[in-house]
Amino acid sequence: MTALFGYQKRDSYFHRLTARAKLLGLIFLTVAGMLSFDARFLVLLTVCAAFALYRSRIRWAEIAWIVWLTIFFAILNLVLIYVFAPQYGVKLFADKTVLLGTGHYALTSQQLFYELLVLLKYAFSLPLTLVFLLTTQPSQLAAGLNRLGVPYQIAYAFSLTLRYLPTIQTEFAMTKKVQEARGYTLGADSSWPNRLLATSRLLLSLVFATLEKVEVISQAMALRRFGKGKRRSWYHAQHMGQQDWLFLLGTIVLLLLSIFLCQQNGGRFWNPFS
Amino acid sequence: METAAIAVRHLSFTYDNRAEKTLDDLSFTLPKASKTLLVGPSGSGKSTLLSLLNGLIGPQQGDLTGTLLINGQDARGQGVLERSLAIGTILQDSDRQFVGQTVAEDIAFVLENEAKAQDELRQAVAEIAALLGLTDLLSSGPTLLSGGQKQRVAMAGVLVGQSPILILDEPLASLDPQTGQELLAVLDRLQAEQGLTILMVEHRLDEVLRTDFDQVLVLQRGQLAFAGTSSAFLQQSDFEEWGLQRPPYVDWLCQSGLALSELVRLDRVDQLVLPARSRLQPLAPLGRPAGAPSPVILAAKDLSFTYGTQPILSHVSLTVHRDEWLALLGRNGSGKSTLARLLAGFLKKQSGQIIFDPEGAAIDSGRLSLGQWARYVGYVSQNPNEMLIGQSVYDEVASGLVRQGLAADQIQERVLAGLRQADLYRYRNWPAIALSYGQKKRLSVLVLAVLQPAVLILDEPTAAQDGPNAQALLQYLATLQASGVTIITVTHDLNLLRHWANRLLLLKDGQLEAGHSAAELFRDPVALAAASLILPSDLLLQQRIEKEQR
Repeated sequence: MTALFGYQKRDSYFHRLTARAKLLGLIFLTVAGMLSFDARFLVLLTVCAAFALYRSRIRWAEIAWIVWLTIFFAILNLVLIYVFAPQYGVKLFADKTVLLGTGHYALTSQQLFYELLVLLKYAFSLPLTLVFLLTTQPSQLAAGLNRLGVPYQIAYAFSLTLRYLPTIQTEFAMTKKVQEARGYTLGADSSWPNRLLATSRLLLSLVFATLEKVEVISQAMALRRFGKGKRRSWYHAQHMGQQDWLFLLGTIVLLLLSIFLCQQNGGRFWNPFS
Repeated sequence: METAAIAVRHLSFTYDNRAEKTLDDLSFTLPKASKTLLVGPSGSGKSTLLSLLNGLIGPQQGDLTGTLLINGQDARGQGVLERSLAIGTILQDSDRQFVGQTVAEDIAFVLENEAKAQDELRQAVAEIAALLGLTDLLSSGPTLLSGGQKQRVAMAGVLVGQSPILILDEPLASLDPQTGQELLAVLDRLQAEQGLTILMVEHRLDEVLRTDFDQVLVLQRGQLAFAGTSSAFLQQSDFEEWGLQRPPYVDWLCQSGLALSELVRLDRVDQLVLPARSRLQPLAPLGRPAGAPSPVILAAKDLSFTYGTQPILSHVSLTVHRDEWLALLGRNGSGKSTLARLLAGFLKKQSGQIIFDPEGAAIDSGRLSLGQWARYVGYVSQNPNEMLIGQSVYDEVASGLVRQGLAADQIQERVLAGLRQADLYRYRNWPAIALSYGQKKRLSVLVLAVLQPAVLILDEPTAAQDGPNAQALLQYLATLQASGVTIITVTHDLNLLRHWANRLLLLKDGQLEAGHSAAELFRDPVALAAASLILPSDLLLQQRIEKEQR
């Protein structure tokens, strides 16, 4: 059994915050972090995000694969930047300190520093997103989205998707086994055409199963008056408390700091080389 | 006269894309606070009727004539939302109508859609949860609930909307017999307290008729074939034609030559009064004893399994003999499905050993991939949709053989023979997803049986099927058994246990109790309770008579 990726009911500071505060906070901090190319600020944000992840009581096993996947793509991203624009940092910081090699692909401190900035963007945004996704109960999030002006049909669809994710996962696993038992192996021991055939059969069956489910679920919802009024209420709706406002205040301060630094630096970049 | 909850007069319905009427000139009345049982074979129009009543289909889907009054008002123009104020519907599939993240949220769903204030939601949910014994589960998600609990949540979620009429579509289908009885008792209590009008579709007659009904309606080919009290219903002689299974105690009374019309409370086996000195014929012996002892085909030694930190099976050892039909019993969570999946290789073994043909080839499951093991031991899961891929019926059966690399003419021969055996030959060119549930179920068995495994393991093969379909499946399994296949079924089906299985194994809290014959099981109340079963009605009557004679 692999641990399922999704909300887990636990008790932590972040679990207690309302979904709305967390959503707004995530937006503020993401804007702040995307706006700024000030290494000092990004390090501060990364430290905050790492601390948040630590405090949120998320277990490593639950997030391991997504963290490794992100690290893989981050490294790929950094390599590709270097391949396609090895002197971009030099242009940005209007300075050139060659550390290694010569010519177009010479490694410069400026390029290294620029790539560090890109890495920092990954480093702050991943933990923040993980904290948000794994500590926010989907219904609370749906209620929060609705409160922020998203139509309730869309907000509910989001929560419903997460509700049926485990069901679809187990049914998919079962179908996969059934197909394996019938000779369609997906394992490494079979040839590529076989694997392709097996995978397409599997996806086809998943599509049929899901379509059938969607019809039953939508009927069940209509029978229970979903879509009756312009508005609906939410059992899991939450009210913002002092803690939520304090949390929001903190994120706003960070956002303002990011804007302030932009002004101070005369642009989005802080240049340590000048 | 008080207005009826539902009054239907000369109601006919023809779907837009069909030539013949699905419902043909129906007239019936459901008085307020009454309880009605609606039965009929699949394809008789039951689902269409229910959908017309709750508004899921209407004049948009076809030609609708006649009158339909709900609480005295013409309801033909009302859509599903308006109808839901008067009629609450509990669908057969309680997992798919569970739309909330938690039990509490799911129960509140109707009221949320009414935009009721949050404290009202909390109060209403707390009240209904207390009524149905769900208070401790309010913050649980659907994956943690048993079938019976989900069914109660579904009921709470509809009752909280205060619709005075309740439609239940096969509420017993996914429940074991004992849990089914508990649900029926809860329903009766609620009806008495709240004056609900109930319309229930259910074909497990022997179980559902342990409670009272004011009226029974029989649908056949879109027409009302019978309407009357349950006593009058049981006196009819057309059960076979209706595709229904008459409760066995009534068959027994008939065979013993008693005049059914003269019996008091014929409808309730626990209250039936037999005339003094009436003689009943001896009942046929229970079970189907195996023939001469045959060699062991499958042996499991010391299997243990834990799920997270929770032990599911501990030190289970068993042997299965060639050509026998073995039934695995136990209540929900006893580990019987886990055991079946372990034997089939669908779950990875944690400890112990499973050997195929220990006295001959002695093949250890641990050394083989699932695909290789499945050549010896096949597994049919409960949900046929998990087994089928959406090809034509023929291709669905043939594909496994194509993978084995058989010659084309050989494949054709085997597939067509299999389709005939499973009574699916007529549908060979249909897409598999267009089949009925019962047909899909037989197809899901056939796609494995055609690969000719020596052992076939089936999880709840007869669940959610009506009498004729279940019977057809059992007949098909018996044919397979006669051709040399060993059958293992995980089941709660009373009919399967007493008429088809050769040997029963009872699991209790992850441990194997002693094996039983059907006769021993039905004589042992403790074992019966451990398997979450109830006595078939004829045996119950026999026990009553024996007690009274003592």
